[in-house]
Amino acid sequence: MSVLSLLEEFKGRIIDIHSHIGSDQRFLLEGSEDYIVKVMNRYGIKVAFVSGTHSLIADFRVGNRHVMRAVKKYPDRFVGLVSVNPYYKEEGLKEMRRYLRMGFKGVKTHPVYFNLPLTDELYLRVFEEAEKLRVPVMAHSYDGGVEVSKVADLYPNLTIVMYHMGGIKWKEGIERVKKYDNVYAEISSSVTDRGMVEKAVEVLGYERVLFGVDMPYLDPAVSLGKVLGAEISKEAKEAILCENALKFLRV
Amino acid sequence: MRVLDISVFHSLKRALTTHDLKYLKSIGVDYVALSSLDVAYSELQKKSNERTLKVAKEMKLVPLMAFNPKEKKANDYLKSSLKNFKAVRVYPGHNQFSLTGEEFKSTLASIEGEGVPVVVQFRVKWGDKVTVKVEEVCKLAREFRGINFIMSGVNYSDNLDIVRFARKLDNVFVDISYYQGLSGVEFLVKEIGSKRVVLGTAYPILYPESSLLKVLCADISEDEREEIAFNNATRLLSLT
Repeated sequence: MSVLSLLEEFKGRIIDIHSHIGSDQRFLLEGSEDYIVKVMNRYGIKVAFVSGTHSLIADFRVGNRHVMRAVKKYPDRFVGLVSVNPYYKEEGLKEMRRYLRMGFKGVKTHPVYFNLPLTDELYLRVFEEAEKLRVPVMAHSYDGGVEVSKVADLYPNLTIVMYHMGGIKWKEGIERVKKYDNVYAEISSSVTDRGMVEKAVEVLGYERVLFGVDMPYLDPAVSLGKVLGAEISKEAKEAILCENALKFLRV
Repeated sequence: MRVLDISVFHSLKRALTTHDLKYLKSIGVDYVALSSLDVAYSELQKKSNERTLKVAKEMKLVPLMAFNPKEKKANDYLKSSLKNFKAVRVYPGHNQFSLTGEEFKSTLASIEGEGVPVVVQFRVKWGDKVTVKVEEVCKLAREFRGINFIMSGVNYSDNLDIVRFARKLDNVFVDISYYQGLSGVEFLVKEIGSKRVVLGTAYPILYPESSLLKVLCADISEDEREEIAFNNATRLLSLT
């Protein structure tokens, strides 16, 4: 079956658990909410969970405002994730609570851009709060799941989405989080090694594998190609692309 | 629409089979240009390329030569064997040679005018440390105007360099096999033109569906899509 026919089966129902609102001029990448929606329409992505690009590279508060604007403009297309810079301590936690009260569905963390390991005391306050409020934490992971697994050890009741599935070290990432039922693996990254989705499904079960794109950095074709090209059942593809992320909408 | 995949690999560890070709055909790849990966990992090029020729002949594929200028009498081998291949693929990072060094320049001088493009492979695996720079390829392209250079393995992190160095060089092309940025195909069409973009998938290393979708779903005209999917590579590889 041609790749376009494969995509056609899921078009209009796909949920992206990992994207951003906001451009990144370091790479000349366009990421306004209007543009992201245009791209989503082209690929048949129904809903995207988004955090702010500016939250990572400039000011977490500005990024959060961008996301709020996008959610208000496209309430049926975007689900907000609040970004917290842990160095801002109580101010960051206040920002987190405020956006969660306004309907955001999760907390985005990034150990690299904030130059702080997830296990640092400053980050642990964020995770404690997220666990208390019963919201998932989306954690950037390019270290083979090392940091994520440490957090999962500390907070067994906290739901963690391991963004990028551990990155280049995706095999390690998958194996490392296998024992934590509260950790989900999200597949986006430039890495498109054949077999990576199959391995994630084999080790974690397809219920714990989530579809993500990482716009404006990556094109939806990258992650869609991984799932559509994976030698897994149609049921598994359906779950990864369209169903598994629904549980995060009900938070 | 016809599709010619410029970046399909085979190796001792992973031979290409008729099953692979059937699979590629089923998802929309009509024609395949084949290169050996073993040269990147130090197998002697003569042996690797002979295998490429054999497989290409048996399966009706387009053979590309994998070339390592650091091997003894490399240029002699190149000159005597070039007629059998449609392009020369080099792995400067893996074979640890400088693109702008005199050794490789003498190689290029010897093939300038032969009408054979040079594919410069920036990376093979995603974990590879990339030592090749867009700027270096463009420097060569300015010096050797009679050679077409195809950059394979660039990603969106190279966008600024593509605009800065490659935009005005009509003998520099981009293969999208590892080029993952949002609307990357549209970006390339806008910055360097649709005639300088070619479709590669890096099969069987990467999921080929990703590259196919990048082109098939790109917000470009049908003429531009056809150029990227087929016409440009056909022209570059002198296929009729």
